[in-house]
Amino acid sequence: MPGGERQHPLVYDRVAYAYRGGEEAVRDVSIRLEEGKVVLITGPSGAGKTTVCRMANGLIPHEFKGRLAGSVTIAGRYDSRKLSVSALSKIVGVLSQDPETQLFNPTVEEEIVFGACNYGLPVETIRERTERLLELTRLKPHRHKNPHNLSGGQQQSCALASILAFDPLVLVLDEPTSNIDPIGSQQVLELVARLAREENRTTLLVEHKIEELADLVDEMIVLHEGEILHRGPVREVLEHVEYIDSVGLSVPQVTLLCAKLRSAGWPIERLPIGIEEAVEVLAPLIDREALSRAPQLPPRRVQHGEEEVVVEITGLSHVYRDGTRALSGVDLEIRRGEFVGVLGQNGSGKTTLVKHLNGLLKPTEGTVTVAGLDTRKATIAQMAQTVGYIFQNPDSQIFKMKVGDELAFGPQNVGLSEEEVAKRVREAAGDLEISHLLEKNPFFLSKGEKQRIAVAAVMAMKPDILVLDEPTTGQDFKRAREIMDLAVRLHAEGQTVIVITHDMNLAAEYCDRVVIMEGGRVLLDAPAREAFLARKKLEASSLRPPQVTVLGEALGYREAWLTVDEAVEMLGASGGV
Amino acid sequence: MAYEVAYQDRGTIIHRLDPRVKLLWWLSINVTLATWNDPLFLALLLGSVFAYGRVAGIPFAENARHLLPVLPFVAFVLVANIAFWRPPDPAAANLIGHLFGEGVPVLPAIPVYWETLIFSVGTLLRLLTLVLSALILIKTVSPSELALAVVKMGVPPEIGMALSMTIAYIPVVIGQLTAVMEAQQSRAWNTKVSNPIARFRAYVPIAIPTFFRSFQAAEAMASAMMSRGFGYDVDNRTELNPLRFRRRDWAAAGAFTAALVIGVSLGFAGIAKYTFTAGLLGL
Repeated sequence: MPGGERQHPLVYDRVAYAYRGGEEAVRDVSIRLEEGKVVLITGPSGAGKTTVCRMANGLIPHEFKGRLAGSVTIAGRYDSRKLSVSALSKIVGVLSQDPETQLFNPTVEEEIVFGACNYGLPVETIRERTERLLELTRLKPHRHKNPHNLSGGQQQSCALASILAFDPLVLVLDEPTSNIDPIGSQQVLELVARLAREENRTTLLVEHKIEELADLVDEMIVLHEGEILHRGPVREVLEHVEYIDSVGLSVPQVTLLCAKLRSAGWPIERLPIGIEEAVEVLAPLIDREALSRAPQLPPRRVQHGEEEVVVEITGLSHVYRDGTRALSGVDLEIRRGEFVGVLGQNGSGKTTLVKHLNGLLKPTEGTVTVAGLDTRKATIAQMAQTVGYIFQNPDSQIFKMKVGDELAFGPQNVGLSEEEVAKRVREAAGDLEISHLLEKNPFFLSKGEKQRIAVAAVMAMKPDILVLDEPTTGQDFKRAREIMDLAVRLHAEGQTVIVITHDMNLAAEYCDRVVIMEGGRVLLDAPAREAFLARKKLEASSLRPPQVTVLGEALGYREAWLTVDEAVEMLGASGGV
Repeated sequence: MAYEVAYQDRGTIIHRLDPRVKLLWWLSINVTLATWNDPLFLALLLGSVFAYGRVAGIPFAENARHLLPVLPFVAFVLVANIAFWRPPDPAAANLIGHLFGEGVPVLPAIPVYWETLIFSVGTLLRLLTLVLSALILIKTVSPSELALAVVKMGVPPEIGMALSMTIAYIPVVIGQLTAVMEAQQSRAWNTKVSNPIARFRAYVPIAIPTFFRSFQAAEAMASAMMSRGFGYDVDNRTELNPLRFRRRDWAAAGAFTAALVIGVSLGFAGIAKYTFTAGLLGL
């Protein structure tokens, strides 16, 4: 390939695209990817990020029908309209979201070689490259396993290796770490950045996790409602951090903190993008002595130490039918009105634990009592009225042709009268602000609306306990926050809330108490402020405290800051202008 | 559960056999059962399938468990057979009694013969053998091996790859089904109703989301496959482990062919007919 063409292996020129029957998903987008550079695209849901990825190897326009304007040129000469997806993918390797549908071979090894074999690469090349990738992704011990039996992080690594195996000139990754715990996702992102440098591979990365990528990428593009809002080096773009935060993106906490302090008049010239930089910037501006003596932060909500125990788990062990021991001797008590976060890395047993709460799983050993009901003996109807379980994907439950009927399904199943069912539907729809959708067909609504319908359908059961399973997975920060804000509202009305997550910022911001799981056991059970200071135990479970907590510690505050606003308040009281 | 119904290299002699030999085994079982209807012969055939599974490292209990989900369907077929199948010469058959007696309005009296019962049990065993042999085939032949095997047998490569991907898709659908069932159970979904029509309707909340999600998954999977060069140049695709028939493959192929010939001969000779068991029972 001539040198000039290599310089910009992927070029979007004034591209606009509208899916059939829809409005434009992207408008007037021009991106010239330079050879060997890593570019991050970020933006809230519906910003057009996935559409940009689909255009890179011709999935748009060949597999998705709609109107495409402008052009996408690959390797300086190939028009994406004229070549097939499989031909373009040889040059532009695209990895989509959701490893579940990206992995379809019976073993890790077959998964990795699949693309390379399709492109007819020589046997020796494939073997050498496969060995190297197995080494790099640390999947060598798992090469004969079914990819679906790997942890979330390993699955993402396997999917990534399956693209790298045929050595494409450009790599396009659409949220490659959406299902992984913090340390696992850091490893995958570092691997991507390292391979980009070592193999001079141009990489376009779509991610929400700006905090983890700030040091790893050369350029950052913020998409909003189909248009480029900001672009440039990360530091330059993050100068607009407050605005980016306002459109619903998760931004580095220390950058946002310093931007807020600067707005309040602190003399901060350059916004930091990492913790060390933030310490350097803030240390000269604060009175460390005063900060260390600053009063303790008050509890954010009413504490529930005196309330009755609603969940009592004693000696709980669970072994799946294939012999996998997921839980071992778990003891746990949750009181009415608590807001508890269950944290842990992929495969630590957190989902298995909470599925015992509504009887989806039964204990192999031990007992689980919820609101006085032994889950082994309680009926499905009793458990469904006691524990409301909100699943990650609303498409797992929606089946009625009218939103109102969907909301009535649960209350009808437990034999409530027609009047009571109608009342509950009205109330749940009102709480979730979907009253105007009651007559609509849920299949034609947006993902955010479907998510609210799924929550309302559970709330119509009026459960004592609400369980939220990974509310951040597959969602942007704004949408995850909407769900959590709703949980806070319900909590204020007396609801017990249990959230499973590996999003540390979200857990710190919302949960009062944190239960950390590791290897099927409870590693730590403590109030959030204590838990986020237990660095070693967090690391043992592949977790990390929020940036502001680490910053507070480094600046000499003796408790944990859990949110940016708390940090602003404490710093405001101890230094500044 | 989902990925239990998927190929897993258990390192047994069956897993090391050429995929074409395993296809021949599957064919010999299924052609044979098509020509048999005697429950005793079919029970032996089903037993042989369980035994083959055991040699392939799949415990009896695992195979039995995987048959559980099809039992409602099998039971339905059993009842339908009892209700509608009549011996060729009812006058000479052994009547047990009538379903719905003379006094029941609207419903006619249905005669039930010993021969009907024996034949119906045979049909039940046939279905179980059919399902179990397919499951064992899926668990012992890697989808890519299967694609290669059928291509070697003259099937166009595109069809071979599509076939292998369809098999790879099965666990994905089972995974979706499990997620949907858990979500609906959390809203007190229940199938424990006595009326068969209500029972059928009770599965709608499972069927619709599973179909919807499976459709989405199929689209995403198709895009992922194309993004990894599926169909790029099928004739020049690299084969890392080209198929080669070894001595043990010839031996197994010989044994399965012999079993097929014997099985079909017994069927066509009328020996494996339901009248065999009827005779043993003195009917």
